[in-house]
Amino acid sequence: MAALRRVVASKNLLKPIYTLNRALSTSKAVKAEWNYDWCIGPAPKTEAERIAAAEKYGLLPEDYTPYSDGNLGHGDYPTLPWVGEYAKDPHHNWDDPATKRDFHDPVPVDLEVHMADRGQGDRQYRDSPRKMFAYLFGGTLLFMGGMMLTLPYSMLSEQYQHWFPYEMEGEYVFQGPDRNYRPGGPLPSYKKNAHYTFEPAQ
Amino acid sequence: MGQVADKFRQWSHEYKDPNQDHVRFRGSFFGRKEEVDIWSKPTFDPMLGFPNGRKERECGLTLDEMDAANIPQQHRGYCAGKYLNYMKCHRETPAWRKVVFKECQPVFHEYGHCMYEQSVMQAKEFERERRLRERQKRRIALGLEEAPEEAMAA
Repeated sequence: MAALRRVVASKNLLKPIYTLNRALSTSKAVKAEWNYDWCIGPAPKTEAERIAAAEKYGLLPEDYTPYSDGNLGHGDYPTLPWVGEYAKDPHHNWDDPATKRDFHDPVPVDLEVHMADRGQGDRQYRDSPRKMFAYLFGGTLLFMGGMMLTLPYSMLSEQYQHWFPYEMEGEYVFQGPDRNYRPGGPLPSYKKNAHYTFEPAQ
Repeated sequence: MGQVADKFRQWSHEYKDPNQDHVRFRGSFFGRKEEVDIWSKPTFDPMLGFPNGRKERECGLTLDEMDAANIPQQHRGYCAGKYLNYMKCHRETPAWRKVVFKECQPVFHEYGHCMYEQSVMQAKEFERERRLRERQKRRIALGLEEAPEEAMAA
């Protein structure tokens, strides 16, 4: 009997490891039954309507601010903070880790720009914008500064391209790709060119 | 248009793109260089600024000798003699002696040195022309020199 009691005790000890604490609830998990329940309502005008709309979207009344401009067609849909999926805590135990959402989290109207592969709303950068610009400008200067300083100096030495002691004259001189050689034409005549070194004559 | 050997001649030499001059960068924020066409010839007196004169460059060969040796057109420069020496060596030396003992290397080195010196001389001559043109411009601006007729017409 004692052995059986020990087994039961150990089972009670181990129970939380292999089971989850569950609770029964009579309230509905999703407060909607059909497609019209997902539709937005008209913009709230009275305080009671406002509180009801906040409860509908799972928000506290003080957190709930509907889109004020009716032209957008958002009705009583709440404005939500500009926080993208990228900026959300990656270590939190999200109900849906893929989209970093908890159950009943309100969905922003512009969900598509908050997704991880799109916008990065409220992203916290390591450096300030000023510092980032300084890095950009500094790097650009580092690479372009040398170029800008050396632009006056040609890397290719400019020099005269023809430097021949004897040069052809007359019709035989190269006049174009198709006009170079004429069989039966006059023989080429040469002239002597004078070029000088930079040493004194004596 | 100067004479350029067929081997080195390019299509762009015949049909020049006028926009090339704008694409090519000359000068900078600190000033613009005087542009001289590399295919043109020096226009100033070669003895200008040389009181003792200048030694004339000597080509080792005459035109008849070049023709007799059948030197290609592109090699008929002032290094034609060195080129001919190298070609002689190349032809007369057995291949294995060229490979094992590198017998033609000194001759080829001489030819390359000649080409290098020629290149330096061409660059010097080009720079001289460029600076003389700038000097001429400055002197015309100061009234020390009369503007040439072509410049007046233009």
